Amino acid sequence: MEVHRIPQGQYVDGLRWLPIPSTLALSLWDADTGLSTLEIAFLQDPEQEGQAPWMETQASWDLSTRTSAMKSSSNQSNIALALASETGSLQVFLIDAMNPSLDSAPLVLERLHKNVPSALDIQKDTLQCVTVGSDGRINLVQARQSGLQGDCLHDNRGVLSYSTVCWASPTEFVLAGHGAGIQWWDNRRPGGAVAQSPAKWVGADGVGSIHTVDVHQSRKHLSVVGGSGGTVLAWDLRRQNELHSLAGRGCKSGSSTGAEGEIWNVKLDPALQVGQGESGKIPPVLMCSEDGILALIESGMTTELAVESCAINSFDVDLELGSEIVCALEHESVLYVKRSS
Amino acid sequence: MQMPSFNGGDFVPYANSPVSAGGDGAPVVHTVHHSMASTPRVLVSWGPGNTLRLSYLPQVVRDGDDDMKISSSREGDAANGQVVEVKLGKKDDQPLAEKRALAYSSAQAFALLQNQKQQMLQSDGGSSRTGTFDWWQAVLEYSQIISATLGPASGPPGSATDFSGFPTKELQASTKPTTVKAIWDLVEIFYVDKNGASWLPERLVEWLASYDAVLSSNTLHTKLTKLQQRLVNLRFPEEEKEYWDGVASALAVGWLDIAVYLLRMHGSYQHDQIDNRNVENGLVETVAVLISKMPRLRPSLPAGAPGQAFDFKPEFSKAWEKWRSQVAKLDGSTYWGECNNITTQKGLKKLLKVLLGSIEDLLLSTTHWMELLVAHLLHVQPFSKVSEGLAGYAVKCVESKGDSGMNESTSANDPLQELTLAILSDDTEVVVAECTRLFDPWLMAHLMELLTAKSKYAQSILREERYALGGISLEELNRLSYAQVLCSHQLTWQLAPVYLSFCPRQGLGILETLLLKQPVSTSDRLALKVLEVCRLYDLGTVATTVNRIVGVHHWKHGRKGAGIAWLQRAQDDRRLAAVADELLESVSLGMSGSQMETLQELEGLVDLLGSELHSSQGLTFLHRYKDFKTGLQIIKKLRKQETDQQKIAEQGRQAADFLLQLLKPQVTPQRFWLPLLRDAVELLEWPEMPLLGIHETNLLLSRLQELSLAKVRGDLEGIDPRDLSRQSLERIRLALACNLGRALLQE
Repeated sequence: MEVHRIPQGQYVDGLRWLPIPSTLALSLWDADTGLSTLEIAFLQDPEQEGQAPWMETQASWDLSTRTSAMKSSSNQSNIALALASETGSLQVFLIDAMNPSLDSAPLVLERLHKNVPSALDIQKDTLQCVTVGSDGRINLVQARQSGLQGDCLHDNRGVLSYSTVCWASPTEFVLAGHGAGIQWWDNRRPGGAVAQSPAKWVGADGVGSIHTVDVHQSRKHLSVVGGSGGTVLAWDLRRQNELHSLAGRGCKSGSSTGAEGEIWNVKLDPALQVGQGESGKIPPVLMCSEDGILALIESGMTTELAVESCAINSFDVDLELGSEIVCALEHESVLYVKRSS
Repeated sequence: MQMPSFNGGDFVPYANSPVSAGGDGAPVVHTVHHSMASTPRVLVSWGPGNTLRLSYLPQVVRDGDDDMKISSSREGDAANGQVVEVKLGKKDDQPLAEKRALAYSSAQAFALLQNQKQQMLQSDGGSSRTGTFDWWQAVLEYSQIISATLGPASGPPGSATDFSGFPTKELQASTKPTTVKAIWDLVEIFYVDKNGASWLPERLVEWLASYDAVLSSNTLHTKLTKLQQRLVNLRFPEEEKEYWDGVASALAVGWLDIAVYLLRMHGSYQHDQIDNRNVENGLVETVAVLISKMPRLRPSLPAGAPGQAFDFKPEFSKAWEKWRSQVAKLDGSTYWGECNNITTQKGLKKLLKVLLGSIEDLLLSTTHWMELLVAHLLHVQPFSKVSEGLAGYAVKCVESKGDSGMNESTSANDPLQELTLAILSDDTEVVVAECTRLFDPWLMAHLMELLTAKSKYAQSILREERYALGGISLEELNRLSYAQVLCSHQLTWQLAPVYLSFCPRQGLGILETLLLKQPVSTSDRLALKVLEVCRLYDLGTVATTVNRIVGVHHWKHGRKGAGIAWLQRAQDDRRLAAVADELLESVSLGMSGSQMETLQELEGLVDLLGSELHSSQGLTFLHRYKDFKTGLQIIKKLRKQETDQQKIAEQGRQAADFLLQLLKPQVTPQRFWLPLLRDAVELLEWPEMPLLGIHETNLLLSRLQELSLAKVRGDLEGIDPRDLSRQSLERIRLALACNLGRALLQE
C-alpha cells in the first residue's frame, strides 16, 4: 500500500473521483484571497520508486462561494457534478466524459436552504439531486440540460436538522442528522419518513450526531452511518429497531482501535463488496475521522490504512476497482492512498 | 505581528492585498446596518491575522416619537455604520500558503520531540548522563526534519548538485536557499551535533557551500554565477583574470569540484591547437589531480566528489602533511620554466599558494568574512574545534574584510553578521535577540529546542522563569507568541494547542481563550473541531460552554432539534427545561389538527429528550404528555373504525394511566392542569364503563380544587383567568362527579 501527501496550498472543501480514469474534481478555497475554485485534475502516478504522484489541472471554474458538499454521478450521456454552496444554492455542472472541461456555466438554483445546506446526493441514472439542511428542509431537484427544476419535498421548519443524505434507489433515500435517528424516505410519500431507526444507540453519552451515511449498492436495505465519538453504525431496514455498532464507544468488540473523534465520512468498501453476499454479515466499511484516521472496518476488526497528524475531512474511493482512495486533509493537502488490489 | 506606527503620513501602514477592494491598496470598507441611540461610537478591534478593524457607528437622533434622523451631515448611507479593515505591517515576500505548509509540518516534528522529551523525563529522571547523551541525538533528528521542510538542499553554482546541466541550466531564483534555513543549519552545527565538533572546518565548508548566496549581495556565489555565464562564450578562459580568480576562490572555500571542473575547461585541453601546450597542460592537470586528492578530515564525501576523506585524526594528519609536501614540491618544480603561458603559470602558482594556506592569497580570494574564515579553517587550521578560539578568528576575519570598504554599511550589506558571529561564539543571548529581531516567531519557537539541546548555559537562561516576563521563561514566551500567530488564522488555529500544551504557566489559559473565541456558531463542523481539541486536552468546561453556545444559537434560529441536541451535549438542564417549556407552549393548548401535527413532528425530539433527562421537569412532562395525546388520538381512530371493544378499552385504560402519571405531584406545571383535565373529560365519560377508580377520580378532583383555590387567591401563574370560566370548570366537575358515581357503583 502506498500513501502520498499532495499539498495544494489551498483548503480542500471537497473532492470526488470522476468516472474518467485518474481524474478528480476538487473544490478548493484559497484562504489568502478568499476565492473558491472548482478544478478537474488529473492525478499522475509515476509508479516509480522515490517519485511522488502529482496533480495536473485540466480545467477550472471560479465559484462565487465556498462549497459545503459535493457529489458526482453519471448516466449514459453526462457526468454530473453537484455542489451545494455556503449560501444555500445548488450548482450542477454537466461534464462531457470524452472531453472533460468546465467551459460552460453551471446550472444554478438559488436559495434552496435558509442556512448552509448540509448535504446532497445525486442519483445515478435520473440525475435527480436531493439536498438537506439544518433548516429541516428536504429538496428534490431534477437536473436537465435545460436547467434545474426543484421542489421542496418536506419542511419540518427546523424541528429536525439534517446533516447527511444518500440515495438508495431512484425514489428512495436515507438521511440522518441531529435529533433523529436514521430515516428512510420515499419521495412518493412526502408526508414523513417511511421508517426510522432509534435515535439513540448503546454507548452514546448524551446525543450523538450523525455526519455521514452510505447505502449498500445492491442490498439497499443496508446502510451505515458515522458520527460523534468515532461511532460507526449499521442499520438494516428489515430490523428497524436495531442499530448495529461497528466502531466507537458503544462497540462491543474490544479489539477496536479505531478513531475517537468525529467520523466525517463512511463508505461501504466498493473493492470488497463483490462476492461477499453473505446476508447476515455487514460488509467492510471505510471511514475517515477528525483525529486523522483512514481505516477499514471488517467483521469487528479495524485496519488503519493511514494515520495523519491532522483531520481527514472527507474521502472518495475510485469507481472502477476501489483500490485508489483520495482524502481531503485539514492541512491543505490531498492524501492519495493506493491499495494493492 | 508588527505594531502600528506613523509612516509617511499614513495613519497606519498597511499592505496592499488582492482582497482589498479595487486592488489599488484602499482598505476594505464594510457597511453595517446599525447605529447608536446615544452618542456615536468609534471601535477599534483586531481581526484575524494582521487585520485591524475600525468601526464607526453614527448616532440616531430621535425627533419626536417616530421620526428618526441621523446626526450625520451626509444623507443616504448615513444611517449605517462603517467598518474599515486595514492590513497592518509590511507585505511578506514568502507566500502565505508556504508559511502555512511550514507550520503544518513543523508542528508535527515539534510535538514528536516534546513527547520524546516527556518519555525521557519519565523513564530516567532526566538528569542521568545517558539521558542527555541520547537527547541531543533526538534533537538532531528533529532539526534535520525541520531543515528538510525549510527547503531542498542546495549548493554553490556549478557544484556537484546542480552541475550536470551546466551551462544550459539557468540558476533559478526559486531554488535559492532561505536565510532561515541557513541560520537553522548553522545553529544545528554549533548547538546540537556533538559528532560534528571533531570535523568542524569541513562542516562549515558544507554550510558555506549551501548558504553562501544568502550571506550578502556580494559573495563568491554571485562571483561564480557571473563567471559561469561568461564561460559559455569563452574558448580560452585562461586569458581572463576572472577565470583564475574564480578557480582560486572556489579552491579557497573548499568547493573542489568546481575548481577541478573549471581547471579542466582550460584551453590547453583542446586538441585542435597549433601551439605546443603539452607542458602547460601537464601542469594544469597535475594541479587538478592534486586538488582532487586533497585530504579532508570528515567521515565521508559524497560519491564522485574530489578529495579523500579521513575520519581518524592521526591518519589525516599524516596524509595532509604528505599532500602538502607534494604541493610544495610542485611549487618548486622545474617545469614552471618550460611553461610558456605566463597567465597560466601565474594562475596555477596562485592556486598552489591557496592550497598551502597563504594568508594573503586567501584574503584576496574571498569576499565575505565568513568565506575567509572557512578558507582559513580549511587550509590553515584543519584541526580546529569549536572550543579553540573560533570566535576570535571570526572577529579577525570580520575586521580584515571590514577594511575593504564594507564598514559603513555593514548592517545593510550583511544583516546576518551579528547573528552568525554570535552563533560561532556561542553567545546565546545575542542569538536569541537577533533571531527575534530578524525573523518571525516561527523560528524562535522552534529554535529553542536546538539551543537547549546540550548547552547547560543556554538551558539555564532560556528556561529560567523571569519576573519581568510575568513569571514565564523565554522558552515559554516564544512558544506563546508563535501560538498566537497560529491562532490568528482560521486554517492554523488547530496547531496552536500543540505549542500551548507545552507552555506550563500560561498555555492552558490562552488555549481556553482561543477555543472560546472561535466563531463556533457559524458552522457545526468548526464547533466539532473545537470540541475535538477540548477532548484531547481535557477541557471539559470549555466543551460545555461551546456546546451551549452552539445549542442556543441553533435554538434561537428555529432549529429546535439541533438546539436540543447541542444543549444535551452541554448537559445544560436549566436551558433544556426552558426549551421544553417553550415546546410545551406550542403543543399544550387544545388538540386541534395543526397542533397534533407539530406534536408529531416533535415526536422524535421528545423521544430524545424524555428518556435521558428525568431531572428536567418540563421534559419528563413533555414526554408523558406526548404519550397521553397519542393515546387519545388512537382512541378516536379506533372508535371511527369500530374495532374490537376490548382493544378500545385497553387503549382507554392506558391513556388514563398516562393522565394519572401526568397529574402526579411535581410532574406537570400547574398551568397545564386545565388543558389536561379538559382532555380527561373524554376518558371520564367513557361510554362502556368507568375507566378511573375512586381514588383516581379523587386525585383529579383535588387538582381541580387546587386550581379553583388558586383562582380565588389570584396567584394563577401563566394561566388566563378567563380560561377558568365557571362554565368550563362546571363541565369538568360534572364529568368527574359522574365518573365518581359510576366508579362507586362498580365497586
